[in-house]
Amino acid sequence: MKRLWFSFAMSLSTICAFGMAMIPLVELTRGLALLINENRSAYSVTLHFAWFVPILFLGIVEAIDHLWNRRKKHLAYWIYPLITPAKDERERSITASAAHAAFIALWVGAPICAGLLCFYPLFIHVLPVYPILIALLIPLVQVIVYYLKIRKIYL
Amino acid sequence: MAVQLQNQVKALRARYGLTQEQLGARVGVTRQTIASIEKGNYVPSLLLGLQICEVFQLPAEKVFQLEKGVAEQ
Repeated sequence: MKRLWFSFAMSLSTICAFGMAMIPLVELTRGLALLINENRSAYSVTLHFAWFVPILFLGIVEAIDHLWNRRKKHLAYWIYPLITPAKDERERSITASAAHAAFIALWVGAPICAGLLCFYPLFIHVLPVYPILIALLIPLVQVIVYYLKIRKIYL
Repeated sequence: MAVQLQNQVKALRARYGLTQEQLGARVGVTRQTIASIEKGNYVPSLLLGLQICEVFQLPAEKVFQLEKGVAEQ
């Protein structure tokens, strides 16, 4: 159960930290767009390193945890920090059902997010990272649905 | 009308002096899975069911019974 909550917290933190790391990159491309569209000869963008600190910190924590746990069992690197409990037939069945529910969440969530993206022109100056927030809503919803389902394994 | 699977796993486990953990280890599943089977929340596969019967050295019908006529919730 502890592993489940750790993995859930890490998954949510990773999504949030990834979103934060995108903020300076959006600023960078906005500056680049101004340079191209307004035919400027030069432009300057200040990149705050602080936005990358959370993702770097999580990267270190996850790398340590991944290497530590890989000795005990073979964990797939690409799906880290997600977990797929499969110790016995019941766990495999609940994990499969959770994966199915997460897919349904994607099926429902993706069109809603596409609809929300239509409002981007309203936020373009106020919230330039709006498309990133909307795009990250999809894995956020999937992770929440997946973990709510697989927690049944430990009840 | 639905058919449900009743089982005597809890009673048999107590009779044989086994904990959920020990029975789980004997049949290769987790303690939580044994607990779920006992509570009727999980219907084991035929393979697991027969493995449990083998531990108790009883035929399947003595461990698992079909309960017919249960109204669907």
